[in-house]
Amino acid sequence: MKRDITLKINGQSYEVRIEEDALLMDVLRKNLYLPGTKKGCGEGECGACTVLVDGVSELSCLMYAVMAEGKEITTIEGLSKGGKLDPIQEAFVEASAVQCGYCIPGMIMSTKNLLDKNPHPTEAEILDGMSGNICRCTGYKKIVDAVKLAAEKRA
Amino acid sequence: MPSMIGKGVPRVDAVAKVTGTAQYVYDMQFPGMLWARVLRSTIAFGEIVSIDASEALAMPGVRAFLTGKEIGDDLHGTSLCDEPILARDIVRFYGEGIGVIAADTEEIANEALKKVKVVYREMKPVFDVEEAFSENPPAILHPDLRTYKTSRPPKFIENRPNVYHSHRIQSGDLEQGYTDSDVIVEHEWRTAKIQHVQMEPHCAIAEVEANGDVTVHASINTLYACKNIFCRAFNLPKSKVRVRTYAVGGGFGGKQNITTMGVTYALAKATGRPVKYNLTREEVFIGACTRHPTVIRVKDGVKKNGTLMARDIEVLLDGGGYSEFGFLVVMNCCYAAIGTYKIPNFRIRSYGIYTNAPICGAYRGFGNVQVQWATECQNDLCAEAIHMDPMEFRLKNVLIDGDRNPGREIVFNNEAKQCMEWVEKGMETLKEKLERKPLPPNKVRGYGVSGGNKYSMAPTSSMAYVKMYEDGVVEGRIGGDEPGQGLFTVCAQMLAEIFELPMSEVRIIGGDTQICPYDEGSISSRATYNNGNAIRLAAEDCIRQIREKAAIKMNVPAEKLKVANKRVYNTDNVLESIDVRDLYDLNIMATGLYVKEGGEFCGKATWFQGTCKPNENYNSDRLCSFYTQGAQGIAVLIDKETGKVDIEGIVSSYDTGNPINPPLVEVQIEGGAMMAIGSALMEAMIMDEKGQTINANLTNYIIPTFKDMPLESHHMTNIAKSYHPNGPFGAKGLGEGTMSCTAPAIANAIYDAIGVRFYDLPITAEQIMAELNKKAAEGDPAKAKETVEVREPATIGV
Repeated sequence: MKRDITLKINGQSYEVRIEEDALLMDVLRKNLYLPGTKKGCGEGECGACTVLVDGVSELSCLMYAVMAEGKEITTIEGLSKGGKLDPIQEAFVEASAVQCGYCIPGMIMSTKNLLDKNPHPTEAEILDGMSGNICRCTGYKKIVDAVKLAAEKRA
Repeated sequence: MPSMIGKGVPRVDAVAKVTGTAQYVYDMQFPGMLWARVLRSTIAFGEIVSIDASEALAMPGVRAFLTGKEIGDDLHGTSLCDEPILARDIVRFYGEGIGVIAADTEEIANEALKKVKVVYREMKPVFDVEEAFSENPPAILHPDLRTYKTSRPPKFIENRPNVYHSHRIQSGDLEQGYTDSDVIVEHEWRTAKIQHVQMEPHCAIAEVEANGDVTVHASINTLYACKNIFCRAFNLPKSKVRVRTYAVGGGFGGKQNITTMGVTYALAKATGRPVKYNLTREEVFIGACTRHPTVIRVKDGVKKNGTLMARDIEVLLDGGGYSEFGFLVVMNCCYAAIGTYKIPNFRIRSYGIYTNAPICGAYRGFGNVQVQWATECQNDLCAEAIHMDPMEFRLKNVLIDGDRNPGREIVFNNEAKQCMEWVEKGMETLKEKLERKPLPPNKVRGYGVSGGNKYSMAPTSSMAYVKMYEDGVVEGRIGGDEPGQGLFTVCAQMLAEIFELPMSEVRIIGGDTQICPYDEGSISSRATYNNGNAIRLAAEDCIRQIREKAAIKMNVPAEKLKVANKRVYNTDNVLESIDVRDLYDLNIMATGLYVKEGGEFCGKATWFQGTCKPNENYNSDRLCSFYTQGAQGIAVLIDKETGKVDIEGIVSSYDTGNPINPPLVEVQIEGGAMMAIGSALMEAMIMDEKGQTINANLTNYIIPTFKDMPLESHHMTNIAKSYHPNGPFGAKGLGEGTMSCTAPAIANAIYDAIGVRFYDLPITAEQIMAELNKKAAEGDPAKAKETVEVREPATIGV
């Protein structure tokens, strides 16, 4: 069954005709050409598809797009404003926390979710808050550095 | 201008990657593009009797279906051509591709796949590598093996029909070595089948133009190797094929197969539309490439004073259904055993063996990591047998510059000793930090160390173009790959250094065979060393052209001129200089600049790293480009009630030559360690009795997460002081070596903690619990040590 829905993404409205069981991840990536939200596993294990829905992190591969109707969706594309990087994005660049980069949009969205709730997390709270996101390149140490640096920058 | 070398400048691709604008093939869509899905076999070994896709083809939105026979390819391989794009008559592992469908959407393609009917005639498979290796194996996977085309002749073993290649390095006199030894230490070691789990799954998009020109956009980590193997498989002229890569979401050696390129090309040709194929995560496990499970037998002879007198190694590599880059793994894994220690009497023999399992190929280290799993655990056992400290034993036998290694290479730029000494000190600091607090209840702690190395292949070559634009910006073009390690950034730093420009005024273009010159790929930790040298030489050629032109303009001899910061200076009088724009002429419309004679300032170069020809025992003065060296110490905390191992601390030191970008070096070291923690404690692909992989997903195949890393203050990384005389600005390579020390250091630490020696990877909590329970039943306190197995000299192997 196709349905016409309106999604509010990064402050803009998008009208889109989708199957009722279309996943938010696929609608973002395939229908709306917002591929910053990555697909790593499609089964809720890797965190690459993390987006914020009404300010809370969600795995867009486990969420039907119709469930996001009427909510504020934030994707990685919505983080930098007017060509200026978000402090979290700056922190990831400066901390050398990026290698292949495929996990990074999800990492950044999870960092935002963590720091929005807890602006000064301890190291243990960072490991907890980020543990739903997998990276195969960096060994995580420099990502932890980036989260700490982001917390400083936002303070 | 401050030097750009040794500086932690941000990656050139960092902003694109943190804003989600970096382009990955997995994300791309082209107008009119069809989606491909591959039909996969549901048996491990057998004949395909029939495939009926008529019902699938009748579905709306389905545009084509091709069987393996209809793909129209020749068998391909790295050196031995044994692999079809999709199985034709015979399937050789559960999950092998046997057909491919193209449809308007991925969803339609998925539905259509369910409607294809396949009839098989099953044959008895062989899953066990030792059975497959035997002279009378239960199955012979490739009865026509000896008739296959090859580009580098395989060394088959008579009467062993499943061996696709073998290799041997030998020196000294083993029997004499054992006779001269006081203790013989002999064991068998195993590693499991593991997968790279690159975050971006494998994918490709193919387009065929009306004139037959082919463009394939692919997520691969060997641009030219994939192009060349693809062209050979489809008998296509090199000039008609363009292969492009973009940001590549991880490689680790696992994106060198042409399956995605092959099926999309065949479908694009059949339909006249661009065709895309994205692997699912499940397909990444079964349909891409894995690391060889191994059985490794090592026999060491040691003197009481700690001198390693003899080492004999036999490596059985369980290669899966096809040889792929596993052909090279057979040879390359042997270097692991010659890179770090002086061993006067030495032999290593390795065998690549077909089994009915998903293909094994390159995986961060080309077999070197598996071999060092065995040898670095053996080093601890040898040390224990003669009551010596494990690091002292290593330091006593470590190679230093001027030595001859067991392959009879002349050792140079080997900083293994420096790395080991740093780790020795670092472990003291770590211990002091950890032991400040009382041990938590029911936990036991242990420390382990390891050395490790990775050679880099040769002979090998890279090429580069370096062009200066009329605004003075300098661009380098290379065929080397950027799957995340930072190649483009370090090459840009080298250009910035040579032209004395800020990073914003240089750039690297790569990932396009139409505009970038030949390279052998981001494999063998070779990229920085080889691409860097090519960039350096091409930059010199470009500067030569600029100076020659400026010499005429300035009336100063070219050798007196220097190019820096978009100007050309007279070195005899630095006040005399011109802007590089003055070397150009203004066009008639006054809209642009051109060079009146000689064309653009565009340097080109080939870097070739040669070797000395090996003798019949594969001995030579130089067999490779360089060795990355390293050492690592690990602290583990084991829960005696659950068997869970926590990595409490990691102390790493690696010798990568002169580091061009130290934070990029550190992040590789930290990443390699974490990947190796997965291989040591968690990761194993599990096959059922039918050969089906039952954990081909990230729910049941667990890889390390944030929760598996030690606290930052217990995680120390050092880059050794080193300078390779042939490297660009003294640099060599790093990526694979970073995985070499970790698993043995963990096993050695576990032994230190609970006195149980594990011989097989991964070492799971269940296995630790079983051993602890066994000890408890025997009334043996957990801390008591096992007696080391010391045997009389005996013959091993075949």
